[in-house]
Amino acid sequence: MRRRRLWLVAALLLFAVAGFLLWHSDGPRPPPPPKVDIPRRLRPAEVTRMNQRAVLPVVQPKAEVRGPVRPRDPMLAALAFGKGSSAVVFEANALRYSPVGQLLLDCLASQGKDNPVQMLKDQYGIDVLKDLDRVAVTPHGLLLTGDFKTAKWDDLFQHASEDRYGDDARLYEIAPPERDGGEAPKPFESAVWNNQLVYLGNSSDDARAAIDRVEGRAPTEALITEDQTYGEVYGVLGTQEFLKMFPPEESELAQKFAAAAQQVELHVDARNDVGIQASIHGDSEQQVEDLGKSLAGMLSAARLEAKASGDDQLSQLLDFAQVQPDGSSFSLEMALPLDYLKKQLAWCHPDAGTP
Amino acid sequence: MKTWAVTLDLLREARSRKWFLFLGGAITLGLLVLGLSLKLEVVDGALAASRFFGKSLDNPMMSADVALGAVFSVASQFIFYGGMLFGIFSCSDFAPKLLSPGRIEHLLALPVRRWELLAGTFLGVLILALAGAAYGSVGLTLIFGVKAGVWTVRPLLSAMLAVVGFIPVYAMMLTAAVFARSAALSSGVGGVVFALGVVTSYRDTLLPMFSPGLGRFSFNALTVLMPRLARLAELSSQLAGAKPVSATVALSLIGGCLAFGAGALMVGIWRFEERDF
Repeated sequence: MRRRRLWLVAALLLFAVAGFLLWHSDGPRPPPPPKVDIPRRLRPAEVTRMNQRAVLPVVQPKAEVRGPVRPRDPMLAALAFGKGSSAVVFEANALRYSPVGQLLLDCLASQGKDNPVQMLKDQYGIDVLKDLDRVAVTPHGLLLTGDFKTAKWDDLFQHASEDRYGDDARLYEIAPPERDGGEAPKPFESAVWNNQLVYLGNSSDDARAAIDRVEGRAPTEALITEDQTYGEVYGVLGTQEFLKMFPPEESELAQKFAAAAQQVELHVDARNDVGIQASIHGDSEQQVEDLGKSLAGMLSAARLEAKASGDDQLSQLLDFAQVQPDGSSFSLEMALPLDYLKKQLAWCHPDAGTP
Repeated sequence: MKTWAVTLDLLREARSRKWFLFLGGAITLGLLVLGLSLKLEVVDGALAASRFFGKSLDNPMMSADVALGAVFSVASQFIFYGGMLFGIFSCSDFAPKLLSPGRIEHLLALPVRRWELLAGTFLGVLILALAGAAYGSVGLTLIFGVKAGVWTVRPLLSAMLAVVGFIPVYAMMLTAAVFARSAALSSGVGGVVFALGVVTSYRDTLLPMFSPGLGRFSFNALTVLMPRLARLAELSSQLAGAKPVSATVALSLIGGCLAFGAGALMVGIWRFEERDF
């Protein structure tokens, strides 16, 4: 009986040896993928940041007027361009101190004399690395917040006409150079509010409307609410902005995409690796669900193709990408590990060698 | 010695079967067709250029053994997969016949230990596989040696890898037959091990398809032990085609397959020792 069991023990030992040898024959394993934080909600530090920015007084709505309450953050109030519009906010100060921000700054610095950061500091007293807090990109223009007390606005806008507007704002307008024939170029408009908020664009009306919203003279429906201000980049994209992302030859696909998704809410965590979350919202639950499944299918197919073709880097990137359905919306999560970004930006670090 | 007697008994039985006569005939016919009809101008040209110009010419023609590498690679794949499938179907009833009522009682009455019976059967099938692979590969080498002057042992080595791949498959077939005396089950188990051996070879590609958790863990655990047969076939092809191979990977693959086969045979022997007839 005991001798019979020896056969079984020998078998187990041999299977263990086989398992080890076969596992060893598979070759070196790729390192485990880094754990990337995907921004999904406000974190404690962001709640603190949000509260510190709530500097505008609460406007008590009149009893007979029912409307949305103005955000207390000047940037969010200024950004309220209306439903369907788009805005993406970059937390410039947070990004500047992130590893990704450092990589980008190194790239800028490597441009030598033409470094625009140094030029702004030397000539106009704006230290982008210290004074700038946030940059918002919208179809109506750029909005910047920060501490611009040392800025030499008169030097920066020396050829502009200046007007005071509202309680604490100055408007600057630079007329475009005269041109023969063709469509006349738009003037350059800028508004500076309380040395904290700057609008840069082409529309005097947009500049005045933004200041009106900040100073509480205009109804304000927040495009980005305060509880959506998480991540180092966040914002919403409307249908029109979607359509611009597709190449002209893909216009049919773009129209289908735009028909299903009315708005994309974007959040990017860049504190270390870059985690991206895009929530796609639409009116038709069925269409949004189909769109989510189609995207998930395409990602799976691309992942397998990358794996089969031996493109480990792309395969790993696609491993991070996933689609999470949620009724009339779904979220698409992606990640860009810092090592990957370093390789992509190696061209502006001569010491790091070629990618 | 007693094991060898059982092996010889199995080989005698195999000789009397039409299956193996058919295999021998098929290999012979294949070699004859290759030998008589293959166009070897590329190889002839390369050889002639080498003879005529010597080393002074920056010869644009590929060397003869490189030109033949592709042929040997294809042949090695044919031997590996063809031989494996043929082996699964033709050898599936050796063990069930050994265990058939009447015969097994007779064998157990002889002064032969039970493990020697099973080991002898396994060894017999192994010799059959070796003989078939060696006949085909040596024949191929002879044809290209005589016709093109390329003498190489690579086809023979790659054919031996096909035999290594068959070892775990037949060990599982033999063990399955000990648990349930059925030729159909035996060949079915062989087919499953063969299929899993191919799937397992691509486990790194397939693993990301499973969501992290129980599914991925189960697939990982199941496939880590299975012999990587498709990778062994690839190794056989690389060896035949004179392509560089990693000695560490090759030895691990071969060692893993042999250990798996031996482990499966031990399970069969354990069951055979336990079983009443």
